[in-house]
Amino acid sequence: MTLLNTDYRKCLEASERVSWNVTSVVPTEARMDFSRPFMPQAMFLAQQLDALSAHEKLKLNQVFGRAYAYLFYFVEAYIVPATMSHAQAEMYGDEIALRALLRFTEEEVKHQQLFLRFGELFDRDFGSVCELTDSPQEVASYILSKSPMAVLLMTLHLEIITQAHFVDAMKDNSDLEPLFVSMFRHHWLEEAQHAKLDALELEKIVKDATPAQIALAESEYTELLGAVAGLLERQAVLDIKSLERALGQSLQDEVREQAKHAQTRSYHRAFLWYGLTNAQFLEYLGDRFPTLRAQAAELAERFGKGGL
Amino acid sequence: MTGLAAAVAPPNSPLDPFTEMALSRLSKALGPRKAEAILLSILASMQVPSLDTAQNLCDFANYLMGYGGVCEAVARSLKVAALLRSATDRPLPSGAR
Repeated sequence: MTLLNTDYRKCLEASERVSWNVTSVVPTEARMDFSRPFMPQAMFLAQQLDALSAHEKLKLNQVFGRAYAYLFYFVEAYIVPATMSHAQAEMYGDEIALRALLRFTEEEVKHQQLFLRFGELFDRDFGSVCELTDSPQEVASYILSKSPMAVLLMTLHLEIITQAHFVDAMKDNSDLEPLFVSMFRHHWLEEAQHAKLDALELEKIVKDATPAQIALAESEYTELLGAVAGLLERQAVLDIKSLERALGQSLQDEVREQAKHAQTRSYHRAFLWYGLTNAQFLEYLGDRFPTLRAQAAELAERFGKGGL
Repeated sequence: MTGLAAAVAPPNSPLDPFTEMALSRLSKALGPRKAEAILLSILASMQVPSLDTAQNLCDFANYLMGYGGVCEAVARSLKVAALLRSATDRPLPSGAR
């Protein structure tokens, strides 16, 4: 089991070894290179659209990058209180686990600040406003209303996809905007520990769970996937509005629909399909969450089979 | 075997995990003697021999909360640990400490 080939001490040591600060990764005086794409082609399905010009694709790609980073800020809104609970549950318990979980929480808050800083710099120089889906606290409340096991499964899913995106598509990709890639490289360095901590925390809970509690977690996780899909679809619509604002003109209706569809597919592929087809995630589900493991391929197909 | 283990578990058998969790955390905060006394007192109030489920652990934490001070801090941590394991936070029986 790859994810569980670790313990709290190893996660803590790795966290201390790779630690960084926001200012060194995204300096306030940094300028981004808007002649380059932010998102890798493999994740940006609108690249395949003949109806968009190269300039329009580049702008949409950059809008996508702005929103992609923001969405990680957005999901941290529920991850921070969730990881705080896990840390609090270790008070007077295992001090190594407590330290690892406190660092986990601190790093997630730091990631929020990182993505906010990036957003400020992007907005300063992009030239027009990018619209972003709002109410992270409302979404956080909805997610946190689910059972702790379902919440942890969702968190594990998200921690794994951010690593997969970086390793599969961003790392060593010299076409992309360098500050954007550097930001996600630093994010990835810490998320690698977070995924392992999620798995360790899940293990604690799963071993005491009844079959009914496991079944509830599986169905709630599936509900959460649906809710995330809806959120992403709303962001895709906002991206097209942002693109039109950046271009200073409206797209033809048919082109707008194609672009919206491509963006929705890109988001679903990045945030949902990537997790549901990830070997580590599927391996972890294994016989712990057998129903979910059996449904994963069908769910992945629902979220786009990874293509347009 | 400690006095507590003798009281709540058959001879030579380990404490179940939630009793062990509560005892070790209370011991860390208050020392073993006081921890055992409080744990036994609450188990008696709960009318259970040990904490064998997450729900028992949650109820135990609610009893422990009433002791205030460091006990309350330990109780909060135990309660979160229980809630993460899908226990339900429910009120203490009327008249309970």
